Amino acid sequence: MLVSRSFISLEEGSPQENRKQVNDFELASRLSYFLRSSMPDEKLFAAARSGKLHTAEGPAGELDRMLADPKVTRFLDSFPRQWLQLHRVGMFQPDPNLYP
Amino acid sequence: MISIEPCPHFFSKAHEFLKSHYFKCHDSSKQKRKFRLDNLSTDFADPQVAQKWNEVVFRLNAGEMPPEKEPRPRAKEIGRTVEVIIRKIREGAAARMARRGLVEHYRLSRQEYAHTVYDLPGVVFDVEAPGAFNEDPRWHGHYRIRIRVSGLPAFTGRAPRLSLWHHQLKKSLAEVEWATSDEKPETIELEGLFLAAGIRLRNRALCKVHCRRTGSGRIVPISL
Repeated sequence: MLVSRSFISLEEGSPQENRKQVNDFELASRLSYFLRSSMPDEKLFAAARSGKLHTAEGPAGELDRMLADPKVTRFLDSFPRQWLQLHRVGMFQPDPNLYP
Repeated sequence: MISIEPCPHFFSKAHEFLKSHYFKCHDSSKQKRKFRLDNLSTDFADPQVAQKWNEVVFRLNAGEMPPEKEPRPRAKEIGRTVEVIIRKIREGAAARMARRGLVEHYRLSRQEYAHTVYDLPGVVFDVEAPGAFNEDPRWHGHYRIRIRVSGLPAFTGRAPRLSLWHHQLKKSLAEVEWATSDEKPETIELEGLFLAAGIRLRNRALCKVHCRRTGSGRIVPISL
């Protein structure tokens, strides 16, 4: 199971229907993997199941809840690192002639 | 969306041919082996209809029908009719493929995988330990790379095994395969974030390597 295709990748779309928009569960996955680098938790699944994510204030409410969760540190840690390419910090030494 | 219009006389010449040689035993008045050819649907996008027509093609090619005591049609005529039917079957299969929704897969980064495994069964798995997972390829610092590969609906038939090679990933993206007709492979559409990268398509059936450096466009057509 841990190496199944549906586990190691996010699936979007289904062969039975031709649709342009992500459905509630895919939206929940996107939210969760963005904010906590992990699968949606029980509450987020429940929100997706009840169609709450489809409403105007549904995603905002879930967003607030997830931002208050301690797991958001994963996002705070990994997003700036990827976005600002912080893995390159220290890669280039300053020129000692220019900056003695 | 492509759809195949069911047409009653989908191929007038072929229809005439079938009528003159085969309807005698397979129409409303007489149905040998309970098979009727005269009202067989021509909606080739229906898989069951296509299967029946495949059977017809098989019988025609084998020369089983008409029976020996009847006047035999010429081989050339049979060949022409079979060609028309096969073309229709392929069009139907392409229409079926076009109707299917696109499924996209985005692989988790190893960090995301580790978090998921931790959240689900509570197992701490060090993905960065030596011998665990390979480092994720980066694109402008980002780990998860979106690449969508889609074959056009014309890509049906036998698979000559196309594989994608990407120099940044230093490996071919496995299991990316299309089915395309052997004789006439056509355009492949690629969409991804590797805008300035070279993507190489290899068609093992033709033993040729097709290269194309991509410029700034999002969609990269590669004509084989």
